[in-house]
Amino acid sequence: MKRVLIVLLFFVLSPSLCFASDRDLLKFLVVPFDGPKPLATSVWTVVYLQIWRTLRKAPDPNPSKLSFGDGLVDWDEVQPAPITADAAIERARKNNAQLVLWGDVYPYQSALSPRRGVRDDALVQAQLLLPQSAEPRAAKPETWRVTLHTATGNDEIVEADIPQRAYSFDTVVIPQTVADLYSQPWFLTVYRSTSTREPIGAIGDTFWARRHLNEWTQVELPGRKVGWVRLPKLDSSSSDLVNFCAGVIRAFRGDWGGTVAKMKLISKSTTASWLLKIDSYLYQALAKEKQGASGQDEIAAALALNPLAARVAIYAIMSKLAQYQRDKTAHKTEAAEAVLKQLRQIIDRSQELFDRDDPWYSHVANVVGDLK
Amino acid sequence: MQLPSMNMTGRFARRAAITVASAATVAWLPKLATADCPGDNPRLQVRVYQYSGASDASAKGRFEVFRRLIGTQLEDIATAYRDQSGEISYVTKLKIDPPPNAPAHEDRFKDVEEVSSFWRLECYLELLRGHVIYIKDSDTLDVSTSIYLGQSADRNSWQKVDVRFPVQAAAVPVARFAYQFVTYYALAMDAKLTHRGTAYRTLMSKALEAEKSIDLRPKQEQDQLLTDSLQDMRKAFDQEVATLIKEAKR
Repeated sequence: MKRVLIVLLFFVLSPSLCFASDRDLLKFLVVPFDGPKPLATSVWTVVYLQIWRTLRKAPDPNPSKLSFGDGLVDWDEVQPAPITADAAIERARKNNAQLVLWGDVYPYQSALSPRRGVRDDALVQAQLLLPQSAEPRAAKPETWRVTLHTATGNDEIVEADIPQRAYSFDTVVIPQTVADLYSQPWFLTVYRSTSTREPIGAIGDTFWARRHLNEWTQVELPGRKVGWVRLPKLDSSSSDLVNFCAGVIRAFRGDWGGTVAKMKLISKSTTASWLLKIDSYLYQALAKEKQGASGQDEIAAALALNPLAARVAIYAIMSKLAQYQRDKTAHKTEAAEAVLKQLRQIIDRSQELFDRDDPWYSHVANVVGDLK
Repeated sequence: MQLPSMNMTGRFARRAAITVASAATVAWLPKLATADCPGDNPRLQVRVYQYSGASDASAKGRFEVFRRLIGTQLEDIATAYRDQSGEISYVTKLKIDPPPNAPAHEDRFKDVEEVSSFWRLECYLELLRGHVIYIKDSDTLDVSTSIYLGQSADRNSWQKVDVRFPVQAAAVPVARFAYQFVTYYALAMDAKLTHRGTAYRTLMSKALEAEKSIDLRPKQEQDQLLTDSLQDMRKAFDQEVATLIKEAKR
């Protein structure tokens, strides 16, 4: 089994691949894409490296000395085949991965124009699953939790999960000119420096990213060997798929500034689907609330796109709950009362979006009923 | 009234077929005889037929790409609800028949009456028929589909909507959103008729996201793909959504 480990600024202390524990590690599994070879492998390599390039261990600059822990982009070399969601979840479980991406690649002729003729590109149809069952981590920063002090004197906790756990991305076109540059990740040439471009070997199947610099990434190989790999045209064909995956990874690592940065690319994208745009606003709201700010502007933007989505209603309610608690803590009694009124209105209006016995909705309605 | 022959070839012939078919849809709207999808059982199967014109290797190959792209999209609709409990969870049983890697069913329908009877009797959510056309100007192939699905009036009313598939890779998302929109709307209408109120709203919400995604694409891509019958369906859907939103704000 081949496996690639990519951990930004992470140093291995022993020859074995050791992490403190899977309980501290975020794993993103990219299953090799299905489709005609070698095109499918090349396209998979491109997407894999594009996601890898978005990982970061800490912001830059980093005045608050933040660290988001270790991240791992991993693959197993089981034959891809057209896998089902169940099979993808099973692979995620076996690999202790919280996120799993898989997809199909289709050769596709793009008719440029009658004069310029036809070009062979690759279409990628990818799915992302974030199964609840595969979760060895001790901390889950992506869970939105609000603690409320109710009239009965008890503290009540209301939690919201991430907006969705299954995504089917729009088809992405990878130009053949890009796919041709990347046959397999482990064939990438490592250079001593970016200026001399003296090759020092192939990258192999285990490498760590230390930093990214334009189209270059500094890597560390086993035995503390350090070099640079050049990844031309990779970022130019980056897609909503890659940016969204990067944003989700950052949310799962508690990198809130990074989540906003990546999700903003989706909400401003001219190609992202309505669904991705809505969820990008929700992730931005989550990130802002996690930093103690209000995410209500982003939730209003999501509501404007789809006022019928239960996941948007959940985030709207969570945001109001958080605002209520902030006002209460700051002894802004009138403001808290106004928020409570709005909160009750939202809960009433969104009732029909939930099943009659929906446990989350029932719990929130009860808790809010006890607030004053 | 019968459909124009599915064996017509050429761009202009295809356009004519779509126009006539759109007009014909209106004529087919009268309700058909008996109730055949028993009780409140939801319609959860999409049946795909071999398209006419997909005879040579190149056309067959393009048709298979189309089937994979549409097939995975339908499977993704089911996957989206796999972690959810409650009323909507029945949608996880949505199936494509046959699966994308098996040969498509042979299309032996003689006329539209046979199609409609089959749709009612076998309780399918959608039937997909179509044709593949070679476009000489650009040396490419174009796939057109007629989707037979239900209406919100009652469980035996049906309609046909035409969706084209693009010759350019960049336009594939529009086509996928169009298929996704039609399927979510078909599921939503069926949920309403089988008294699944929460599922109806959830599926309308999903159909809305798919429908709006069509508008995000460049107009040129949309114009290539959107047929009159699909635009008519969008208008009906928009009205239904507006009513739901108004109700929610009350």
